[in-house]
Amino acid sequence: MSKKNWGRTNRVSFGANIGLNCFFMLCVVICVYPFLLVIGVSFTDNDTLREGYRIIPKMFSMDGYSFALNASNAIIKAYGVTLFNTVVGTALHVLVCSLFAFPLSRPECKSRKFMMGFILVPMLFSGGLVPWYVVCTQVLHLKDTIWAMIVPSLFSSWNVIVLRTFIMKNIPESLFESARIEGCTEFQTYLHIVLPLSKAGIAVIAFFTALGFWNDYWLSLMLITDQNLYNLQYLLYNILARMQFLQSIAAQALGIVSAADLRVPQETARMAMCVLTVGPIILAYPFFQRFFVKGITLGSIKG
Amino acid sequence: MKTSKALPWYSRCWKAIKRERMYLLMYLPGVIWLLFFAYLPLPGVLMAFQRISISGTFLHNLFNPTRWVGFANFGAYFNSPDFLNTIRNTLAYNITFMALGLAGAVFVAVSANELWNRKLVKLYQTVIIFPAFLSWVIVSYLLYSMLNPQLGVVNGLLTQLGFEPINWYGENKAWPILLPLLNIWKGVGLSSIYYFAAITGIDQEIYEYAEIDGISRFKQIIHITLPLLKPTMIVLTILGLGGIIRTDFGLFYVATLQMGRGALYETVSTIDTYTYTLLMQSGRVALGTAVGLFQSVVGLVMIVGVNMIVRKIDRDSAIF
Repeated sequence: MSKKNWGRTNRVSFGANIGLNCFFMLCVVICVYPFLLVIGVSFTDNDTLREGYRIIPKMFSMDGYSFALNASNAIIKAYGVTLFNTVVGTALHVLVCSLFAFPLSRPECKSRKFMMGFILVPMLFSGGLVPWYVVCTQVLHLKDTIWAMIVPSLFSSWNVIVLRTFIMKNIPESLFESARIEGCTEFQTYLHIVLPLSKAGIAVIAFFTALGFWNDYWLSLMLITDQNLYNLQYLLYNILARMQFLQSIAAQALGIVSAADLRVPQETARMAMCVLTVGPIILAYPFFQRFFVKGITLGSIKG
Repeated sequence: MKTSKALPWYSRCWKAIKRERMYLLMYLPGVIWLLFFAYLPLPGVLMAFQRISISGTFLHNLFNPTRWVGFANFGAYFNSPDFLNTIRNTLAYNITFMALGLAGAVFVAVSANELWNRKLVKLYQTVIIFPAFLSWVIVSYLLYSMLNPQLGVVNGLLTQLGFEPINWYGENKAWPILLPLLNIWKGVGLSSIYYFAAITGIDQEIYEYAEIDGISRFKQIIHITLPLLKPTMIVLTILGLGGIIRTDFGLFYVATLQMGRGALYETVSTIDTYTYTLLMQSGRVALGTAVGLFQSVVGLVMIVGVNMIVRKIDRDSAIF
């Protein structure tokens, strides 16, 4: 962004400025309102809900939350699963991709061209969903394991290309020369030169990867049926998709055999679960706000 | 002393491998991953030409000649109403998304650049980008709070105004409008950043000359900013065309609360949701593979074609 603003005269008219600001304020409202609504519903008494949702509850009640927290076991397990997936998955993904990107960036590496082709081909053509599923379940036996949510996301050709470009543009050849003179092995060069100097690029890749793992429901949808392995998003998915699901996990937690006996503040509990799940993202948002703009400009610079 | 040319090829190969063994080791995790997840599924497309029996394994089906049915699965797909449905939905929605997305992103980026108060711009951008970080599951909840037939605010508003409440999740009519709106809501903030970055990269001198010449700011936008954005717009659009046969599963399956119910079938099923249903719900493995293979082939043609075009325009922006 230019440091100096253009002359005070060279801008749109005052009226246009007001108009544009109104437009953006409308956008802000459209983005914020749904959250206020969900939060409002979550704090409402379930019976007054019959008159419809609103932001300010007609009758305030923590019913939804207390019911949801009955299922706290399930929620905590889901948080655990999601945290594990995100931390381990992101670390491994970044490791695999940066390890791959380093030799790709070295001109003296003879296998460079072949490897570029090797990662490019899958970007052009894939076998499709069904063969992938067959490999995951029958060859790799990933079904209903924790690794089902990590391993299929361990590599990305796109990230490798971005990292390779980053290394080539930001680490001067002289550093590699001096490393070679010092007698460093390739791994030492990777560890002591490439990794520290690629921190910015890796941070951006790590951010978007972590976001992907945190938000992922699809791998669970395809490969997980064991309720103990549900991650946050998949738990939420089931609560909304299956009528009796929330009831059944609360009943399990309370040790009630016949779930039908349970009085369930269904709608407000659902919204309470949603708030409990999305809350951390909203709270963390100001902190990671800095990264993504850099990330977009980085991602648009490719080889 | 032997020169390297005098060695047989396998010795030279081995020497090269030994020399690069550290690098090859670094490639290894990625290579193994690709072998399993990208290359091993490839022979699986042969299932598209078979009649899969539940009792046979993949290899058993492979070698049993009675199982081979040639293009019958493709014929079944192309002749079924599903084909028209899925193709029409996939292409129509993607084109709509691209057009609206482009217009929206450019409009937001250009407008944001014109606002007088820079601090407000940061605030606005922060807020409108946020939906991009949500999963479609969360979005489905947000949407549900508004479209719930009995309790949602939209139906509440409609009844207050004297209209009939609409069964949003059961009726097809609204979704061709809702889906593009959802797509924009979630995506326009983030895609506007590309254009915003491009705009701030423009040399301010051009605007100063224009101002001296007495050209209004509005005209400056039309005649300077937009034309300078054209290359970015064209390249991003053409590259987007490469993915025209693929859709965002979350938008069409999760946000619509379809999740297995078939009510919105006509307006909401795309090739991706159809393949998913074939595999996970009907267990029609061969047909699912055939549809997936069709999609991959079309996708390949599109990506290669699109890249050839982009290379002619702006070589740096092509993927390869």
